[in-house]
Amino acid sequence: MLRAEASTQRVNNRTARDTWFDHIVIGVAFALLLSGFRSVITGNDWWITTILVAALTGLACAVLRAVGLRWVAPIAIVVELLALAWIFVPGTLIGIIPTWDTFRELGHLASAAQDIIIEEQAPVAAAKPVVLVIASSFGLLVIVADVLLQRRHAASGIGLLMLSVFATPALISGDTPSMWLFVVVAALWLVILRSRTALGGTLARRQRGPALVLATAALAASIAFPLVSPDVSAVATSWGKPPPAVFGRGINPMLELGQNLRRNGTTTALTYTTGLSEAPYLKVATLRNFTGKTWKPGTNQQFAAPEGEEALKNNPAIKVEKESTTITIRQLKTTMLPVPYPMTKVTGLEGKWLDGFGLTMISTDDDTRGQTYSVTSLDVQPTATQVRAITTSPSDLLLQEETKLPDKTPAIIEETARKVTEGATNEYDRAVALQDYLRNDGGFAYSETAPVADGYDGNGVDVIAEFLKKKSGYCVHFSSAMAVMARTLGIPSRIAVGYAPGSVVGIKDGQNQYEATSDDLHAWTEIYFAGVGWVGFEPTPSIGSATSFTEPGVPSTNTDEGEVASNPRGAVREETNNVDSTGATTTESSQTAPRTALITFAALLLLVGIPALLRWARRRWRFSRAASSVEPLWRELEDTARDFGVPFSPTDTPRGFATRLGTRDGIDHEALNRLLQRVERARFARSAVREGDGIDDLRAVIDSLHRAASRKEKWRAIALPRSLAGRRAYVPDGPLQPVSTLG
Amino acid sequence: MEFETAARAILANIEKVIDGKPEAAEAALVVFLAEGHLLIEDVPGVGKTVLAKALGRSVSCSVRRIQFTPDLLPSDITGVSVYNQADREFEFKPGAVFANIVIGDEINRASPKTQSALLEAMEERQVTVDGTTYVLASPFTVVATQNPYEMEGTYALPEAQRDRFMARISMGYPDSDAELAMVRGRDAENPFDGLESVASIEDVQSMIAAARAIYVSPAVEHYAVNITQATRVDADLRLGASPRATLQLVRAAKARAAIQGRDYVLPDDIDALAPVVLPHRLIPMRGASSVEDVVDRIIAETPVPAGAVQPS
Repeated sequence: MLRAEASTQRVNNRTARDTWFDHIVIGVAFALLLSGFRSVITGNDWWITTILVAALTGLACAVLRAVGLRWVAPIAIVVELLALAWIFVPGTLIGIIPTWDTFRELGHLASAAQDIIIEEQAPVAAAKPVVLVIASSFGLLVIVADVLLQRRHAASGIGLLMLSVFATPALISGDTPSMWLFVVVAALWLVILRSRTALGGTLARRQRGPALVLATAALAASIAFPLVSPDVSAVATSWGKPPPAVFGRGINPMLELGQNLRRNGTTTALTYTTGLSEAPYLKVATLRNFTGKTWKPGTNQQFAAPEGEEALKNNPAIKVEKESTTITIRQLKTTMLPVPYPMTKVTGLEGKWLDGFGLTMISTDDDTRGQTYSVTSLDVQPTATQVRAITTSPSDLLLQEETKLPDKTPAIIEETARKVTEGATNEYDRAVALQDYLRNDGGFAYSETAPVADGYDGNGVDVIAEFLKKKSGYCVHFSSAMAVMARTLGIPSRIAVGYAPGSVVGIKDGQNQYEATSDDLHAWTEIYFAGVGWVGFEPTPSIGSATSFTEPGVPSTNTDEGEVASNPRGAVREETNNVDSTGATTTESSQTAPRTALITFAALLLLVGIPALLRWARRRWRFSRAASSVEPLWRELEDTARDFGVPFSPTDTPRGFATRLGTRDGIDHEALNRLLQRVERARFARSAVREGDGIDDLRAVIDSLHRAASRKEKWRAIALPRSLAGRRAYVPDGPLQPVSTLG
Repeated sequence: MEFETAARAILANIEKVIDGKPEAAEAALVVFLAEGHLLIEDVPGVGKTVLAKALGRSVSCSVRRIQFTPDLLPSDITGVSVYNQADREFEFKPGAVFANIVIGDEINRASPKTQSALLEAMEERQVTVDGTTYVLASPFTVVATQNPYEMEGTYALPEAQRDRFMARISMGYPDSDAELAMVRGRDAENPFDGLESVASIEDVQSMIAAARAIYVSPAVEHYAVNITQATRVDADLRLGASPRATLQLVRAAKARAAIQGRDYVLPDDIDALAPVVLPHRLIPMRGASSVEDVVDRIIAETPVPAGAVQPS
């Protein structure tokens, strides 16, 4: 019998008690790991269900193993399926026998879960489909762990399994994973490692080195990932996962805006090139109906004041240019199309798209994914004199909705509006005064988190009053405040939701190419001027630029979202949403996606390369110690041979191992024999070999191993060296050469 | 003469008359040079006696053969004092045991009393007859054979007695090539005719002394002790190896190292010899696997101490 086979047998003879112990430890580890998913799922009872399913599955595995049945994993999967059916769709079972309905119902739940995963942001509510997904996943994990435990080299596999479960919630939610959880789970893993080790204490200690290094690397990686790379989810989505929905179907975009802005991680929503003199704001929805609590979208069924070309029809004196903007959607899923305002025509869309309210486009059965389209829009350039002359009648029936205020409005809103616009004589000057007050003069600070922290997030009148006092908020508050203040002055106003212009990322077809990311999600205010239409204003500090019209002859900015030339866009983008009221920096958003992807790629490469790196470092270290002893060299030879798939047993004699190694093709026998002499004399003879240090011989043997190995073996030896798993017996399939013979 | 060259010459000489059994030849030489005794258990006609004779011829030692039968007397082995009428005194007539190599054929056919006479001589290396002690020749090796298949009317050696033998080997049948060669070459002439001695008794005595001086590192000492101790606690064994077994294992390993031209013992020597030195001393549990398998497993499972082992 061969040494390696014998130690295999010993592992196989492990007592049942040990196996039970391992199962229990892994069960505890999974239960702890489950707690990490609290950042992904809200509610409480989901984890009870999950533990129930996992426990039933684990029990099935254990009982099947105890009985000695084969095919444990398939049977356990059936048991898990029954458990899921019993918990989630009990009505469809006949006794415990699943029916066709069972599978159909489970299928429905699964597809519902898929929708939730695609459309909702973490944390999601613990709805039935979500619980089904997590419970079935953990059940499967238990089965995989059980299968792994039957194998000799299970510990590393189980470690990877635990690590992936540990990292999953962090990758989904972007939160930094709990250090304590990691430490506890890593400790449990070491317990398993200890108990799985074939030859007891000494070898287990030897394994702890690489185990700890791997664990530390994994911890560092999982903590560093969300910090270094806010774009992990972007990279993940670019690998084929559908992008997150920004504006879900039929849901108020205003309500989602803050949540989307506060989300960790920047995704590139779209890129575009434009013939407009300034990069346009891209509108996806228009909100006209202010209930006092929130803003609601308008619909085409309602009366509305003329806008765009229709509004300009009777005013030929105003300078208007038509320009085209070509937009490519990257990672954005919504049924409302981002378009510059006011648009006249869209070409290149796939699917069925309809005109939406406020010169937008919507689809009832398609979404923006994968779309590239061209939008023709107007560049309306009235002079300041022209626009100052306009007075819009507040009693215009078509503008009823846009001037309506709730019955009770806190006095501070109108008081502030009146104070700010004191001295302004026309609608345009009042609007500019309101914009400047919120944007520059009023001492307001941009913060995505302050309103949430102080409990006044939202856009109702009370929130606006609170915002005017606290003077801290984000675009929703600024735009909503300006719109409501304008209405208190009798100026028709509404809110536009979409993307701020974004930043230049390159040049395409002779035009600047812009990129709008999820951080550019924005809301701004539109004010109506009779004979011109709706004009956007930018009350939010440090985003875009303030709207102002100039006299003829002076270089003008565009009429829609005019931008002061002295305010370079790059600088503006830098400040976006970084500063909250306390001045603390919250997130780093200046990174562009390609760079982040590069960092992520480098990090992944590093992770993949860790085994090779460790192996290399170990070899270097052993070579450096070769002068004083031959032992490191021999250990290195054993390890290298093992990396190349040469069978190995920790009870091998040097000669036995060399004999087996010598049976491989192309081995440099002379060098191997010299090395063998060296180690044997060092270990067993009165005097060791004196001359040289044997490194050259070792190199020669390793080189000959390399030369004779297949390409696959070489890669395997470099990327996944077996020797890192510790000095355990390794017996591949197939017959072995005898280790020792008499004579 | 150089040890290794001499050993190789002896082995080559033996192989002239026994085809395809280098392991058996080496085991015999190891036992001979380690001053042990060899037990060959096998069916008749596979060359047990030829092996012993070839060894004896090769080293120009005296070889005597005793065919054990139930009526063989102890005095046939040890010798007997007879009254010399002419000299009017008792004169010692040495028995078959007074030779360098003593072949005891079918030792299990003799009565236990006769067997123990031989075994005592093996252990003591001297014979006491009528109060006078006669020292046996040196080197002195008993090569006993047993036929394991024909057990009727025999007195199999008790396990405890087998302990006196350093090693037990089986010759086994030759493979077909070796057997063909034998049929062609050996039928016409007496195989021993052309066999000349390649070493003198003095050579052998110095070789034995040299083998005793081979270095055994503490690591290998530990290894040998660990293996024999493992046999004493193994669940499959009723009787483990004696301390004498450990001693003989190391002694045999020294001889093997010397034959292979080394002045130090390797764990591989222990590995190679344990399967011939240990099994005949062990008694398996009822229903357990064969003793040979158990020894193989123990060898495979016992780690070889590497690096510095402190001499204890």
